[in-house]
Amino acid sequence: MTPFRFPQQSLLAALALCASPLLHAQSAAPDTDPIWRLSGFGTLGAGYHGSDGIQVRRDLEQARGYEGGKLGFRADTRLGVQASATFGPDWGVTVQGLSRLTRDNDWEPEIIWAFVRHSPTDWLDLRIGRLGVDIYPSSDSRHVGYAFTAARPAPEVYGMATEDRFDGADITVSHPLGSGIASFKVYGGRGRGGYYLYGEALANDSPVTVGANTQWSSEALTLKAAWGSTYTARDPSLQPLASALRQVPAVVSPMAGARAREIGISHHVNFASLGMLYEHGPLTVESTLGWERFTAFPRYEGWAGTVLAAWRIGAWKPYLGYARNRFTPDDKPLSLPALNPQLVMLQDAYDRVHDRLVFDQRTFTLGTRYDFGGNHALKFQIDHSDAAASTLFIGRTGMPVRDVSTTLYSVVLDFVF
Amino acid sequence: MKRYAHRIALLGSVLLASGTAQAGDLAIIVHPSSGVDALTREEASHLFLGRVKTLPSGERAIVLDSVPQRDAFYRGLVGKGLAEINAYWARLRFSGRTQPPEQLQDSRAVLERVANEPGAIGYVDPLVTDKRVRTVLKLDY
Repeated sequence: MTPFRFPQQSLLAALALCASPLLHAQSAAPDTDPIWRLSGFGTLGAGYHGSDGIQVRRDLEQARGYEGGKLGFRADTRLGVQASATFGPDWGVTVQGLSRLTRDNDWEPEIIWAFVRHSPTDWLDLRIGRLGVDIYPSSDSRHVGYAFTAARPAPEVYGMATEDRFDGADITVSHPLGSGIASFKVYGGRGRGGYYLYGEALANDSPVTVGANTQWSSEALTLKAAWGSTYTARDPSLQPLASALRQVPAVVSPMAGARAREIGISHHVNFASLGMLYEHGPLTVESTLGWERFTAFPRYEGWAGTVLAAWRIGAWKPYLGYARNRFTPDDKPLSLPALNPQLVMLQDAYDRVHDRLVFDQRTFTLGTRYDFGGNHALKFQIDHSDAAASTLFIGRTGMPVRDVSTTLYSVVLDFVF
Repeated sequence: MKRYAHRIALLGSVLLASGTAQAGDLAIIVHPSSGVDALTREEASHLFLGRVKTLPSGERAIVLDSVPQRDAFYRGLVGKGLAEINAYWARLRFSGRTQPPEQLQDSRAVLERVANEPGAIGYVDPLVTDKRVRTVLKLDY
């Protein structure tokens, strides 16, 4: 895999092309003045845990997390700025940039959203440009901390998402159903994003992303079912391992050649999820349950779920949460004889590849949110995690660690403007 | 004695009713030419939560908040306080879906705006309404 940089200039050029109908719309309706808005969101976060040599990451996209024994400020901190304009009731354009700790361990801003929207009726919405994969019940973006009850969306579920942006289009059709509004959305495009794994910043080569979801929202309840698939046609990252396995003589290990033939260059990530958000009076309950399959060698399958309940008492909102994930590979054992150092190294490389995305992690969360000033929220949170295996928890060199039990104390200030 | 008790009960109900009107009612108002005579609670919540953008008559809606009554209004309409409503709008605003209602300084400002724009809809203290607008739903809080 080669580190990927966002083609932001070409994206903005394409967006300008897409936006050209807006100029015609303007000339056709000169009495409709465009309305421009500049807004933003951000989080100032601090965290501490005592597990020496371990970094607790918020998601797979970040190169670093909260380091054991040190007060850290980087993992949750972020700033987003959004410019949007509406051209009459039917047309709009939105661009959103975000700066946070990236997989390259810097703060380089990214374009998260950049699209033209056309809503000819209440019941039809079309968008084209850079969009977000719409799988979360609480928010289309996991970066707007103010929109979430807790200090951060559960890493066991939301931290697994690595290509939740795409350059493409989506279409949403809505209709009243019972006491609520039902909607159905389909989307497709080229996936954007990447991740940090085994000490390296990685990204797939513009994978094809397609998906659909259906949602029903009433005054208090939102239910969502989502499905998505990402297909990468060319991922040569495992080819060096395949080549090395092919060079092992059959008399040394007949299985090595067989394993080499199983390593391909294309793969799918398929996921399905169910989400629920209930908010009425002082009570908030939100839950997400997701299933995922990753077909790259040796093929992984697993699930992730989270539930959080909160109760509003004036400006305070204490909450309690639980999150769990389990992601395991198909069993593809290989045992090379330790005849020489090369075979020992190859065995080590094979084992690392085989187990590179193993997750078996659970977290209990206790915290409280304090709202003030109309658009600020201060959150105090304690997360106790037990991880038999997790690539969200890494050592100093970026390698995953096993059998970790740690308690993270966080204070974050979320704001919107 | 019976007539006396009846008068006390009548007086009590009048006081109770007037007290409620002054302290716990809000009126959702539209322009008389909007084509809307009444709104259900569900229709109102869909409009004020940005789920629909047109009035039931088909007129494009311009949804207005009155800042002093905002907390009471959303508690009465959807059972959510301001913190939850603000978080809700943060979700929608920063995923490019829709914008929150325009916020005006008080009931008078909402009344003037609704009286002058056929698609405008807002909520006001019932005591400030006049014949230039139509009340389509009353909310207790």
